[in-house]
Amino acid sequence: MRRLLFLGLFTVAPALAGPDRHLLPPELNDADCVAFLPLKGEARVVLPEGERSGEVGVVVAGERIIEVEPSDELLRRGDRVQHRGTPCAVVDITDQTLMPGLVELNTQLGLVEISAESSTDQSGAGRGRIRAFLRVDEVYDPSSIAIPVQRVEGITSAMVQPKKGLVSGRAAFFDLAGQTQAEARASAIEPVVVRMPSSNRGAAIADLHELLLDTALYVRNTNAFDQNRFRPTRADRLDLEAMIPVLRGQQPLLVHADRAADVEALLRLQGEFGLRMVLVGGAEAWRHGPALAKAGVPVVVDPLVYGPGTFDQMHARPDNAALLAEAGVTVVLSSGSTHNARTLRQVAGNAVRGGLDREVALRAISTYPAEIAGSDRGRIAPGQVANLVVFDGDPLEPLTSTTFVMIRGRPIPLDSRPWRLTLRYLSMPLPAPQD
Amino acid sequence: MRFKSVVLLGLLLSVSSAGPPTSRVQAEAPGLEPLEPAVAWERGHVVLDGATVWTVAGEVLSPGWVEIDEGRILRVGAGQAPSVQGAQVLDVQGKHLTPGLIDTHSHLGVYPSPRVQAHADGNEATKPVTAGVWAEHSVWPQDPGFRRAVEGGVTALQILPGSANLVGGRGVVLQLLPARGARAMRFPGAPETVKLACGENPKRVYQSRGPSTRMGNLYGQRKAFIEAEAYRKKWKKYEDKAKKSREEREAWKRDNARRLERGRDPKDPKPSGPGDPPTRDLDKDTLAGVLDGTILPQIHCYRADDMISMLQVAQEFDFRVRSFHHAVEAYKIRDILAEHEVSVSTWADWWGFKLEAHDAIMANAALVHAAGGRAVIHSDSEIGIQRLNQEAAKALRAGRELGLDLSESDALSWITTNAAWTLGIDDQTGAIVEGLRADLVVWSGPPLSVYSEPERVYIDGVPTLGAEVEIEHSDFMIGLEVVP
Repeated sequence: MRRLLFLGLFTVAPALAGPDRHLLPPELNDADCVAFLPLKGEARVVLPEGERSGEVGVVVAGERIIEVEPSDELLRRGDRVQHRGTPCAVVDITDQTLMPGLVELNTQLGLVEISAESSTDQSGAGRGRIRAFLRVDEVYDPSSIAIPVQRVEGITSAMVQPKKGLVSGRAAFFDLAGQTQAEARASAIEPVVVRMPSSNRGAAIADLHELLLDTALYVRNTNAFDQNRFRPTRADRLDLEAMIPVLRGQQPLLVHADRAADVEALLRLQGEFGLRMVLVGGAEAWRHGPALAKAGVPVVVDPLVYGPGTFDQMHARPDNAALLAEAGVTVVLSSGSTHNARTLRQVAGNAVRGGLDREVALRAISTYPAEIAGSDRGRIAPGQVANLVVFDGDPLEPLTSTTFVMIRGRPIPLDSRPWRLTLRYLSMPLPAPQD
Repeated sequence: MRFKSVVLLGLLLSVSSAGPPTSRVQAEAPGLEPLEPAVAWERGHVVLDGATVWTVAGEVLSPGWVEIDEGRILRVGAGQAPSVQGAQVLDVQGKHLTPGLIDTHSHLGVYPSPRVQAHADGNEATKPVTAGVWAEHSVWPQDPGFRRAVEGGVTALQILPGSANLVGGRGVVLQLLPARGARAMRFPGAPETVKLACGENPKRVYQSRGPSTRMGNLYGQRKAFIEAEAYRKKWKKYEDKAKKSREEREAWKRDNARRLERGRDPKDPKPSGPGDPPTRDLDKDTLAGVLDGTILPQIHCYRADDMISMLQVAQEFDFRVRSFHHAVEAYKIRDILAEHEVSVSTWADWWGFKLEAHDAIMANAALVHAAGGRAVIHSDSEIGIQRLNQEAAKALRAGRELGLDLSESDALSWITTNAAWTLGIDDQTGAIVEGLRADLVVWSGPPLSVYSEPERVYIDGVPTLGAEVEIEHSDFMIGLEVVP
């Protein structure tokens, strides 16, 4: 009876199938406080300590999670689940899975609209090998039509990386909501992105080495540089400025490399300068698992790389992520995709198929990438920013649908341009369906 | 056994090729016995017992059993398998059995792994119409991707030339049993196919010398078909003449035999022959085959209006389009595609990589299916081909989110029966039905789950994956473990 009374308040079922799927109940839009509760049984909630099956409830007020309680406890309080005197709207998560919003660490979302149209591609600075000066934060387009396409599948934040050159520029971390760059920005992090080329690697390593040495020299002799009393450098002043926080270990270096030999050379560089390094790609990284673990270098892995696609991936294996995790490396899973960052949960499912522990895989698409991005997201815990997703089944299964998305405490309609096109052509005159 | 009739046909053709050709029979006609001797694979007599059998022919048998022998599906049944004398019984309880998956769009072998300049053999981008080139002649049988595809449950696939050209050349349908040459990998009895392309790719590749526009694309294609029509007519005329002359000569021979019998002198002169045949033209041979209806057009086309244009070309020259590939806007014209019986080979979720892929939606395949069309999920990727089952699952989910009533068997049809129809081999494979080839996959779990893996794969009855002795497809991956 008490539950029925409780249901009388602002109770919302997650999205159902059909043309109205994207509509958000207005009471949710206005709610200052939202409680996720299994009203008719049990839910699965992915907590920091692991996936909990049973009666768990989560309360969100404003931008943040304020309570994570046994739902019994919350239900006992009935309509008193409230925040500052206002009753919370309730999202019924019975038989659903609630988890932290998914985080993609390797994408060009907001930089590229149509990949093949260079006029719509802002992922590069357009000049030189060393472009550390480029700041994604200044070119990111929060209104890109590719963004809603990802978030309706549960991706709530992304590390947006510049793409060209040896030193591509500075990445930035965004929530996939917000009208402006400043609003979307989700942490202060601005890692410098480096991409190992497929040829002339010797020159690449030497150039990186020199860039770091030049940066050190520049820090000590900035005046000399400004007065033109500095030896010639390959990097410009803006590049050197951008590299200072990297040299000081304040900002990470995100290095794209697949080949085991490159990983080894990069680890030496990391050791020499004491850099905060994150390896991206790492198709052959499993060969240096213990060394990566010892150096504290996380690896962002795409577990679908199994070809070999290039000569740098000759030793790629489907259990790369599993082997790295076993060696003690922090593994992040990634689609490496812009338009299809939404495949992240499928990607993680394949890592599990390849032997990675399922709990680790769930953290590897939420908690770990959010941590690397230096943001207070990625965990269902009081005080965390409320980026949350509800799925109608196992999040890693392709047959599972996303039923509810919340970014910074705000419900996100399951709406996107492709969805609008779907609706537009849903009711066109057509012959009657067969069967 | 199954080669006997093929060998005979080969002998007949090789005998007849001693004289002047009397028709456009290819010197390298498909279906001829390959020069490479066939491998004597062990095709056992096996009963797979206890699995959930997804027949993709209307039934899911849970549990069910399948008996295969000499490369064919002998019997399929529900419940417990009867005891079969002389058969090896494999307990596959709790497993799932599906037909071998079929990929209608692959570039394995012509753009093999790893990607290197030396193996970029997929686009003969030297002129916009290269209908005469054959993907078969570019396929590198040692591509490690073939093995990866089998590991994903794929048993047959179509290798196509790339989409640089208006007419890119012939595709080839392969069975994924290893061989030393591509000819020996051909799916027995599969019809010939040809790749055509619309839209952005050809006009981008030929920007400077044309076509450089969509109207240029259509001009080039129509021109090629007009020339093929004339060529076909010329050959038809010659063939008629040859037939007539053969008949005259036979009559003359009979006549003379009779005269000789009656003690009379032979009649002179011997009727004249048909003269020299027209010169063979490989490009026109292929397009004439399309006009004959013996070569199935597989057309790379994204946009709805581009597909309509190509259907109009087909109407103009009276041929049928077998499948539009990629076809991300098929949902906009699904009534037309269903009416014209064109299959739609598409992805579950690829989009945004070029403007003609801007309007892709995830429910594309599901909407085509629900409108009575033939939907196919293809890979066009050496990565995607390793998990076609997951791609079909995503496409199914998108349809269900829209409220469409679709079953898991429907989704399986997108990577089995409908794909087989697209390649003209649906009378041979694609479903678990008595009499079809034993192309089967035993999955560790439900076939649309991300966690499920093929544990056993039978191709034409040959245990290709999961057998005691594993078949190695590729020389390329051998020896990597030697160093260090």
